Amino acid sequence: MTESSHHEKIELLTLSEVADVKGFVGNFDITIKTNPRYVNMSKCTGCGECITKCPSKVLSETDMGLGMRKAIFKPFSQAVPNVPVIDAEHCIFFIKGKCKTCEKFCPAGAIDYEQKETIRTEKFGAIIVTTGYSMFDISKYGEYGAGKYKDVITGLQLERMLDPNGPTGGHLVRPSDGKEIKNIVFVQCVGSRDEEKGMPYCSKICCMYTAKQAILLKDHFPETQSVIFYIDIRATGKNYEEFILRAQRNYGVIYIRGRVSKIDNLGDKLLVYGADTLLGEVVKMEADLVVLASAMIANPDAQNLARKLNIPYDTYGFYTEVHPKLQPVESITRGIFIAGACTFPKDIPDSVMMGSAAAAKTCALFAADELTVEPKLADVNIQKCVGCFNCIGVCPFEAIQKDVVGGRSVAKVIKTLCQGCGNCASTCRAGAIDVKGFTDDAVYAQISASFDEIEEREEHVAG
Amino acid sequence: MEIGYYPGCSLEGVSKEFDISLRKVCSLLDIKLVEIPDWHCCGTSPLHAFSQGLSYLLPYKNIQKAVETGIKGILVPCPSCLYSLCFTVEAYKNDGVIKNYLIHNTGFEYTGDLKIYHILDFLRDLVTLEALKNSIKKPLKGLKVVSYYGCLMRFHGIEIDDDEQPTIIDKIVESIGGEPLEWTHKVECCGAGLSITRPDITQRLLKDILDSAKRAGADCVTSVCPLCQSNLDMRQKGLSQASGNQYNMPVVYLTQLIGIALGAKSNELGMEKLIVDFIPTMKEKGLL
Amino acid sequence: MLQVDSEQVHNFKNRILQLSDVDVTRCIQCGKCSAGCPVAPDMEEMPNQIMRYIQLNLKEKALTSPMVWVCASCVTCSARCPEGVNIARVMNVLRRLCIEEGYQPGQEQVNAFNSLFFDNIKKYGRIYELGLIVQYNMKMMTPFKDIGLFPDMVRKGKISLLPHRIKDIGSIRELFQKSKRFIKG
Ligand code: SF4
Ligand code: SF4
Repeated sequence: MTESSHHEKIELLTLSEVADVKGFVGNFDITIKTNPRYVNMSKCTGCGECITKCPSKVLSETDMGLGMRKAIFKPFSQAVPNVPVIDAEHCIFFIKGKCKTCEKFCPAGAIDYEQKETIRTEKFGAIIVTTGYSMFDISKYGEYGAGKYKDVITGLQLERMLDPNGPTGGHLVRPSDGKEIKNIVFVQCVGSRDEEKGMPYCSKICCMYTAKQAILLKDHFPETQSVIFYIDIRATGKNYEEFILRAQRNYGVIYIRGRVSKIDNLGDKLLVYGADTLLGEVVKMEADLVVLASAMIANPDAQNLARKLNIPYDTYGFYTEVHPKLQPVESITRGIFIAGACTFPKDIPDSVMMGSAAAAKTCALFAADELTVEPKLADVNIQKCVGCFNCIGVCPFEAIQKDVVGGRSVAKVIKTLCQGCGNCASTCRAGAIDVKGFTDDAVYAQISASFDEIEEREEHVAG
Repeated sequence: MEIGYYPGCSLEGVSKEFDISLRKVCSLLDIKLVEIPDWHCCGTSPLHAFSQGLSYLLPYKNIQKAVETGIKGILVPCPSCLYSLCFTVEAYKNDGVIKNYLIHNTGFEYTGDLKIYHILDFLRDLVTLEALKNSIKKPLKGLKVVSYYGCLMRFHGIEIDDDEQPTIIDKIVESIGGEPLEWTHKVECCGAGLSITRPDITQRLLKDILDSAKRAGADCVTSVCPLCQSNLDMRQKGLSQASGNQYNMPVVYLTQLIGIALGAKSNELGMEKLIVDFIPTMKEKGLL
Repeated sequence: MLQVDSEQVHNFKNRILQLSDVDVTRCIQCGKCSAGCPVAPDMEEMPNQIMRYIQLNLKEKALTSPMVWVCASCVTCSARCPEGVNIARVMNVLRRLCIEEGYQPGQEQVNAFNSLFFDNIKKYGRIYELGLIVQYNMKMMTPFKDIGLFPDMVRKGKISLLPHRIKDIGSIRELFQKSKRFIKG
């Protein structure tokens, strides 16, 4: 990330969102809204004095609520750029009009409470969308006390605990009472493979990250013992199966095939009720910490963006590619590519692959002098067009524009945008639009030909 | 306010104090209970396992008896009866075969407008917790209560609360001045249905529930199910003998607790019928 | 050894679907039902195994399993099943099917109790608790079981010594007459 922020051809816009998108491939006009940082980026040296002095504490989003951050903060230690931001919702100055502690202590005079959001429009040739993902809200699992018992956490929370810069400074202690942890129970498929409370799909990454965490725990804290409740182990990547076996054989991780039904909080420990379906026995065990492998879900914000970009998404909110096998990084709109977890849960190797593919497709697009398009496009017969523009309203790709030919207002199809869906053709009352290869005449001819065939057959039968 | 009342067999026998205290609470809250005339057993789980036809017919016939009194709603304190009744109404509404069967065999066509309440949604929606709070004479100050919902509460077709971590009883306890405690066995099965046929299993389940209540530091368990209450209350002696540990946890009906808070005397609430004596706890908390 | 007959493998599952509206095909054998079942720790088989019997057309195993008969109908399994399988309802249907088709119930005392319960309602219209318990204990040849409970119950007036018969017992008996064991399937 640091590298890309220094690259001369890359401009990194943080705190910014896409407000609107117009235009088409090679010619996008993107309106960018940049939210105020309240810190002058060119003055700030990143010393962090302001953060130390800020009196307002808030639950940290990065630490998944396990730790606190200040109202002026850097989202995480390697954040780029290395400049803090003020969270106006929790800043005492913004709430009460008094404080300005950070301004007082900033040696560079970089604090600027007057900053306003800015809006600008720029031209781009292509768009690659990578919204990332979100985690399933485990508090739906009342039987696990999830969201209620402090020592029942998610995999991502454990990840934060293992980070030396994380909320516990890399120490493995119980979130509830700070006591040492010996026995850890992992529960896989929480919020995934669950049609009642969660998502029907397999979240794909949890088997591997759970095994990774169990190995890491044994490595860093040899006195711990991990037990993993699973339904099926899905280790289908390069060296993945070997990795799972290593967890079992070299790190003593115990795998129990069965789901957990309930977790009791006994105060100083947790009691886990599970099943071993291989033995046909009920399993009850104590744990100091329970880690739920919560499912990856679509970023809830991604749907908003999808509507601006005209990208269809499925019932889960994941973006739909043009073709899952043959065009996995293309969106239905030419020049807009999609990559990473916005299409479905994926791990790092898959995301890198998809990102690289999208980048390569973009390069290929830019490298060509001409664009080839599908021949099945809408075509306006300007002699017949009466300029009612009903077609503009029905085109999902905004591919029709008004044009003036010989002093008359007529419709014009932008070839790079049109996907040949035919909505306009069937809407046009004047019969001025046809989809090439599917002209009305051709379609009628096909229909009557097939009826002829039926008639012939019937005659044959009757005769 | 006037409401129909279907006590169910348990409240006539082993769980008389539930009936007594419920009636007392209603009279203190100025609610008239109209008992369904000549009601009969709704069948409950043993019958479900025996005859599908009867498992619908018996509850349906009770609904007929209720509708014929002209009453618009009925109060059903026993979750097991409630389950049978709701389950029948649901099948009647969604399944044409069952509907025809029921109409054919009883000659009665139900129009679907009888509202069925358990005491929990009755208290919450009709009485309201606000009104309950305002009628309190003797708040249950300092009484630590664990609410026991039992297993059947989550499947009876009336929207009560969260299935796994319900809070409605806790809220009621709070509104009468008691102190609801968090604990782990709110919805676990107590095995009452097996207490005769497999007492060994029942004893294990009982023990888990009572241990959890002890661990939470409760003064008493409160219950809204006659089967749960009698199971937890009556079998503590046997459990103490079998386990060698002393079990002495009062298990009180929620209606009894409400009654105390409304100022009723303990004999008006059937307190003396509880097997594990609750009187010493009441004395200790200054509720007598 | 288990013989799976590919021709027949869907038969029992389809019958259960017909009788209970529950599609056992949905079960992914995760074991969550068993993990929370209050009686499973005392049983040889677990609820998910019963579902498995049905999936593989092992009708007799499913119908005669003690697990099916000891099931407390607490519906914990159904409430937590991630695939929405109403296991408790299937258990119920299995018990009925077992009797209907003349199999030996996996736990005779439960069946004995159920049938006494049945007779009890037929006779009085309401449950006569004392009679039920005494009859059951006689039938099981354990006349003194639960005897410890009686002094308290009698002293506290918790149990009626005499049965309460409803007035219109005739119409209830009529229902018993009319009810066929199965009305669906
Ligand atoms: S919980 Fe549901 S899916 Fe899982 S084993 Fe039981 S019936 Fe099958
Ligand atoms: S309903 Fe039966 S099978 Fe299901 S959890 Fe309860 S006892 Fe077990």
